[in-house]
Amino acid sequence: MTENVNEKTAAAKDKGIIRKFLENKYDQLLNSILDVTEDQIVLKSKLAHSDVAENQIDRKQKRKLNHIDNLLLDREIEGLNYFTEQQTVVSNPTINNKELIYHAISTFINASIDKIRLDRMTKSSSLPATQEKNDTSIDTILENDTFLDIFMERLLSRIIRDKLPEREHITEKETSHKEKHAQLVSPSILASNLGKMSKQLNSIFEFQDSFIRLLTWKTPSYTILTLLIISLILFHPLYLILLPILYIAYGLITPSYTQKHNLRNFDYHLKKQYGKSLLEVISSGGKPVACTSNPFKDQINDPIEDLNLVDWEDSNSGLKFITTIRDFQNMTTNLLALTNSISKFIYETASFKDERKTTILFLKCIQRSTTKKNNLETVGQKNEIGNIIIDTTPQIKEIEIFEIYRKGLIPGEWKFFLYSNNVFDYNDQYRKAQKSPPGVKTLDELYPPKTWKFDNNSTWNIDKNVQEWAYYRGLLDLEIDKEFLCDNMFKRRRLTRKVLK
Amino acid sequence: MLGNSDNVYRVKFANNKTKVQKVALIVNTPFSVTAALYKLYPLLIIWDNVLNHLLWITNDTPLHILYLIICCLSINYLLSEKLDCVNFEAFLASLIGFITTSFNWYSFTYYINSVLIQINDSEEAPTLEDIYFVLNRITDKNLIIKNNLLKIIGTTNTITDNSINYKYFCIKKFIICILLLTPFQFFTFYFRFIDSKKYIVWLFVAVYLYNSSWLEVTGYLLWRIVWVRKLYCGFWNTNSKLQCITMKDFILLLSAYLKDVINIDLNELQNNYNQEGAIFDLAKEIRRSIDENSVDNQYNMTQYKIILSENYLNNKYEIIEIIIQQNERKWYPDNWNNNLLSYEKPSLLYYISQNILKVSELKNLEDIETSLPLHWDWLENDWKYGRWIYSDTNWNILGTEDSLNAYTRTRIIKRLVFCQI
Repeated sequence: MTENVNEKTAAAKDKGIIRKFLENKYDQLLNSILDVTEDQIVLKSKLAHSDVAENQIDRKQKRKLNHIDNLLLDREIEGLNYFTEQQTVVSNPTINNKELIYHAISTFINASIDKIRLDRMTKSSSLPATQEKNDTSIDTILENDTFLDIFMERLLSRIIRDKLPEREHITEKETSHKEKHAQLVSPSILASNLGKMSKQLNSIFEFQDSFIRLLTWKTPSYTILTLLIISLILFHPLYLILLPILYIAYGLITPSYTQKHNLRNFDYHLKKQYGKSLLEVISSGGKPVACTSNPFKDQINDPIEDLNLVDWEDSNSGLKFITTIRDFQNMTTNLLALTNSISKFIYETASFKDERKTTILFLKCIQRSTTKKNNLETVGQKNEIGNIIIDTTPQIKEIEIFEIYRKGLIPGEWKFFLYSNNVFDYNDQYRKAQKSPPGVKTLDELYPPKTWKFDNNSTWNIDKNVQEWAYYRGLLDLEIDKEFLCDNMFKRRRLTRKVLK
Repeated sequence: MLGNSDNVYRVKFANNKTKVQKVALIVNTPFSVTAALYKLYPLLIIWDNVLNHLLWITNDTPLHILYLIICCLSINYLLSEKLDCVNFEAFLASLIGFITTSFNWYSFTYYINSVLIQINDSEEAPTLEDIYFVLNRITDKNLIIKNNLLKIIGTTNTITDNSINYKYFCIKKFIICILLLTPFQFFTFYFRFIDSKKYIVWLFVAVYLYNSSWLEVTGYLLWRIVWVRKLYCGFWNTNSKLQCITMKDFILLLSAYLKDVINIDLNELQNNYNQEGAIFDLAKEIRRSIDENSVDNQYNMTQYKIILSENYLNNKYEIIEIIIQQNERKWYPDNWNNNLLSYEKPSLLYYISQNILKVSELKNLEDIETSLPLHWDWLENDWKYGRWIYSDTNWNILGTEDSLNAYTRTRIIKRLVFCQI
């Protein structure tokens, strides 16, 4: 009993001391903040009016602003020091109420300072950001300017120990100091990870869809081929190594080469496809079984239920929850890194961004797949491919522009009108609307189609074969005068030039 | 006004292939032709699909691979001599072969039948434009197959015109191919290196895959290896060997080739030439006159040999112009240097005329500078460099500007030499 009374009186004493201390501190702090903001307002108004003696005042301003920053910093450090002192006294790994109050209040104060500072910084961009060096979390704070974000960030970083324990160590009483995970739980990182992930979710879902399609025989040829490949691997397990290499060479590199160098481009598409493949007919003979159950349904519901089921009464549950979030955050970060490196491989290494690198990769794949069958040991020795020469002819296409002239007042006089992609004949929509077509006044203002370049060695050539280009545009009823095609108001000639990609 | 998001006016590609049709084709086409084309239409569709298979133009690549496997199994089955019922493995293989062969046959006939039925049952008959369109498709695909075949037995002398490389059938290569492959095949079968069944199956796979983008890309990428090129060019011996000569030989040769001789009497010129070293002053004069008279890259003035006679010192000088062609190649990414491929022309060539070039035994200009024969000396202090002329990888001239398709370049370097006769 007496022990309990003693504890209670000690707790009451503690509370009284804390309250007094906090009241004093908060008053001081608010006063200093108000001073600072007043100073700033005065300073800003001065700044606005003193354009003339800019140089002289500049130094003073900087000094003053620095002083303000230092003042704010002092306040923050002061608050921080006091509470960290208190924190070190408490060696219990679980967070008790007193500590929580310390943290919450100190965080609140510091967050207010940060918010004020942030507002100030955004308003006056000329302010030198000296405090950035001193505060490690300022970068993350800068991104989220709402007070709640700053507050949460600070609170979490205060409450949670610098190094969270590994999941398997949570139950252990003493946690070792050699934890691998040095990353703190940060709402901003988590939010940005989720934001980035949502962009990449498409490819993940696409992969999932293709897997489902494979299992449900949506494309029978795909499924049969997969089954054949699986049986091949079962009979000869060496193909487990060989097939991925061949996939990189022929599934990734070859298509990107054909795409980049435009090897096969058939722009002919039949209106109607005639004929049926027996294989397709057989496989689609029965009605496809619809996938009634939603595979995502369970996945969506589960985490929410899990969250509800978290036993908040448990002394370690808070820590567990935070650790879960930390692990989730780490998982998203790792997943992002993985998807990034995969997409970097697909879209850079394997897609001829660096022609030499991809060529060597392809040749090595071929080399490995051919040597692996015979002798695994020789692979290391025969790795030398030799000199690579890259002299692929770029894509060359022809572009055209029409140089349009307008009839002058005097008969036989023509005045230059503009260069345009439109022929500007009677049927032209702009002509019907009695508007000038889109175009430019000089050839220098013309740009090649996107991702293409003008061939430096080719100039604008006048197309002398007017008959032909008029024929292809259905304009043979117009009069031909040398290289011009004329009507009653305008005449035009066709200029061509080469572009490269 | 500009109508583009990046606020610049972009030119459009020239499109001369698709005609703006004002009158239907049927108006101008004779009835007999139309009727014949209509009858041909199913055949054209089937042929178009066969070409699709050969060229691997498909949205369903796994299906093509499956057909390849099925065809291989069928060939294997059809070529087997007898059915082995004792060995279970062989029996299973025969059974699979039988199934695939019959499937292949049914699949083929089913496809043809379905095409015929669909065209006949179709509510709207194909228009002449449709048939024309399919014909165009077939022509284009045939051209691709022809070009791919000519890659083996076509000429390397390509004529570049509007970015289309025309290859021509080369009878010499064709004969060499036959001469080499016939004994190879004969010995292969005679000594039974490869089973004939396997040979035919692999030949079928090679033909089936030959026009696929996979094999094409593999070919292109292997062509990037320098030693592959050396091997190929060494085999076909595509480049005629140029004669390698020394500087002395070159000067002798040059003197022999120069037809016209201009005699200049120094005494008739101004007094200031009547001094020691006057010849160097004169060099400038000669250079100026050469430059003035040379017409765009036509080095006609260099065809003259200038003999200077000087009564005062009783000396006679012979002046000729050394012209060297310098060749360079662009190595990835943008590195121009004189490191050329060994089967190509060398980096430095002695230039006599457009068609007569001799290989220098020396590899760089510094060595050439010190390689003048006895009694000969440089009249000018420096080389006069001409403009680079850029060309594609096969040395076909493109122009004077570096561009994306320029992989080689050439320029002329000139310098006067003199000798006291």
